[in-house]
Amino acid sequence: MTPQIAKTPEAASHKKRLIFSAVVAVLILVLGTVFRPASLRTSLKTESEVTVSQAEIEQIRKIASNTAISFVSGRFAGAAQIVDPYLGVFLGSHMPFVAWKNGMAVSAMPNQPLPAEAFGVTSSGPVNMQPILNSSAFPIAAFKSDQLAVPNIALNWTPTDGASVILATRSSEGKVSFVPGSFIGAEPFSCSGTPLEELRTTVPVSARSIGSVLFDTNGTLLGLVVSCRQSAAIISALDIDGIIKKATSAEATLRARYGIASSPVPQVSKKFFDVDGLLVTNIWKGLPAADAGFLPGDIILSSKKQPIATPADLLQLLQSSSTTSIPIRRFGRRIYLHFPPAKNAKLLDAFGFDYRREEGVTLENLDVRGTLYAAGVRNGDRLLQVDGQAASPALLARLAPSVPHYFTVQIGNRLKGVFVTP
Amino acid sequence: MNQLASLGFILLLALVAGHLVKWVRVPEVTGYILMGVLIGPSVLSLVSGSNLAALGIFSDVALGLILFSIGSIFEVNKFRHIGRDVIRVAVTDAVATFLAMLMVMKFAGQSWQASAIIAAIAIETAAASTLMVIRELNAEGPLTDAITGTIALNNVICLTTFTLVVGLVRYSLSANGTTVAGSTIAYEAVYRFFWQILGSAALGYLVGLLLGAWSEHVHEQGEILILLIGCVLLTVGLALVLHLSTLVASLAVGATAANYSETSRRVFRIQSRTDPPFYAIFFVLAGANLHISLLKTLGIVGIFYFLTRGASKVISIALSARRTSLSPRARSNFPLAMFSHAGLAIGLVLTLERRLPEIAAPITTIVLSSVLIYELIGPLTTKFALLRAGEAQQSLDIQPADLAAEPRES
Repeated sequence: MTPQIAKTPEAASHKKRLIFSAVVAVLILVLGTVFRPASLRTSLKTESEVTVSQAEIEQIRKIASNTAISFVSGRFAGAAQIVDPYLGVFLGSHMPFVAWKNGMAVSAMPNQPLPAEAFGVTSSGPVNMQPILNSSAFPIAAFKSDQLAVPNIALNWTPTDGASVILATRSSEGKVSFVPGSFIGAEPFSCSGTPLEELRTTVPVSARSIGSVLFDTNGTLLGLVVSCRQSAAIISALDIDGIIKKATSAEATLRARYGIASSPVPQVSKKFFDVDGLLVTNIWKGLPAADAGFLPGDIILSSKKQPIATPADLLQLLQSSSTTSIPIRRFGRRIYLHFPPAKNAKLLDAFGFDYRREEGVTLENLDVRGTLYAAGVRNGDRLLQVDGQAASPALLARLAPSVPHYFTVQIGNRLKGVFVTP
Repeated sequence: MNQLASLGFILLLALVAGHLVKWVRVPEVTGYILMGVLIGPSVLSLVSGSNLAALGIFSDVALGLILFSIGSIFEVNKFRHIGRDVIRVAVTDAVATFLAMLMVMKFAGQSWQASAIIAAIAIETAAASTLMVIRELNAEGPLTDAITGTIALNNVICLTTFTLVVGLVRYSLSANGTTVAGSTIAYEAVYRFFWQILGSAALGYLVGLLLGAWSEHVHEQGEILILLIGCVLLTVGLALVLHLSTLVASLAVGATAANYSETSRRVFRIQSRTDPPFYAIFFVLAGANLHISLLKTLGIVGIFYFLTRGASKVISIALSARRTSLSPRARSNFPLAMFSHAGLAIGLVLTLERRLPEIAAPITTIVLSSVLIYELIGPLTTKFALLRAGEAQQSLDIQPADLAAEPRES
């Protein structure tokens, strides 16, 4: 405002209007920032807690060396207390089918968040593991030890309400054949097929067979029956190995360990914008990719020297043992993001954590699929003991990667024992 | 070649292209774009893809300046004269193009979701290339004002429609088993809508006030330029950080500065004398980012898109312009000036790849291949329209042949 104009009454009222409208504009920006939807903040919150008593550790250790299996069927909703063989858990009726194998839990309800009670969490609200894995496999030790484990539930389990144990064989090509004489419901049958999602039987299949488990003749879990089409004599079973494979793929590892999801840059964009690489589709806060400054929409650029065409390429780059400078394209410009080196790939692969030497052993780069993360341990917490011995780099270097270990972690001013299965 | 050398190279080649196209009476902007195509990765690869990406910051500055300049059309006294006409034409054009494209795309076998998104993008008329032609011809007059105002509104309507349609599509897809609850998606859609329009306008308004108030205290041309570019960069930068629309925010800065005071309007006069280098870089880069090979992917649906957009714009603008105060000569040339199709459309396609990756691929192909054609012919038809309407002040550019071709008013 020029001083001459400001003296007139019109100018004074004009000035008032300007101030008022500027305040309104500021208010709009503040309100917009405050009420920003959570989905636009690309943050992830998971809260789960496991408390394992010392007495249980030995029990767990024995069990963990077996391939243990359990499941729950929605048809037994009220009695749905079939337990995790490691730790045991009461599962609500929200979870019709769950099976465990090799330290991973497989749910028959993909795309659904697991209910809080599945994790034995005392706090309310669902534990949404979905954004982490986007498949139906979950770390098994996230479950709470309320009930004593059953070493091999398949042996102790009594079929009720039609569901049964079905024996089948699986060839190296993946073809599944049922062992003649196995039962689905009360009907004798034989059938074969591939894949597991669509197995054809020779006789009509009772709908009561839903919830049955498919074992091979060695007692290894193959699948879990999730639907039966009686008229077509088709049963659909979850392919547990397939799901676990997916959940441990490079893509899932990137998401779980670094908090980054990616997809190939569409062909037409490659041509139009002359870029090649991977499009970052999501970033989860509190994990290394977010800390390094990645944002959804960035394109991780591929070069002749460092081709980035698949999630496996990116995983390899991020796991490099030297500080990596990653070229990305953001808003049409090329910038570089610095990624700290992974120091202990062995620990990361086997137990889902890395560490730095600071006030003893401080945990970092926790894999969100890992048992430690699921137990509520976070980056920056201190690792005090492993199997009762004081944690040290030398001890961690010696840890046998194929054997379960008991970790004692200091979280704030609490101590927490977590049993970690490789 | 490093980035600075590329930049120098681009500026000098833009100058050469500008001279060359004058001989064939084609707009400079088409020359810049063609030069960009020539030196870009799709033909000679004289400027590498990484250098193009690094120079993108100049495009952001140029686009901010262009939209700031267009925002001046909302100066109250000016808009009072042309506002009713501009709103009538812009709204009719948007509604007609949207509905026609929706029906044609559905007929061509696209899902209704994809059809609606394509239809929303088709509304856009490129602001930058149209304004460049107006600048080049020093065009002034009722048609020029109507074109500028209509394009400003057109871009806002296009952005609004796109935001709404994408929100609806995401909501409809959420019913088909995605993990996110429908209510979350609905909230996000409504939020985006208000944030993109109101939030961006609020940011632009605040920066516009700053520019207006400060411009009263600076008098030298150099200082005014520093103030202007500082404000434009601040707006674009903050809009990117806050996930606001750079388009609406930059328009709002221009509109606020134009209305603040007589002194603040000096900024526009000084701007027009000093920003050509930015624009030259912008259009050469835009050309270098166009890929001729995309024409092969045009396909039958792409041809439908191209024809439907052209036809609906011509018919709707011609019909709605009849009820405006424009002269018959201006009315008959109005539709030709509204063909350009690039900037915002490309930006929206990029947004789509982030927000709806599951259906983005076919839409990207259809839109980007047509953008290629429209971006080349749009400036030509705009120049033709302004010359025929007699609003070009650059008498040297008007050849006897042009004058002979002008329609006689009865």
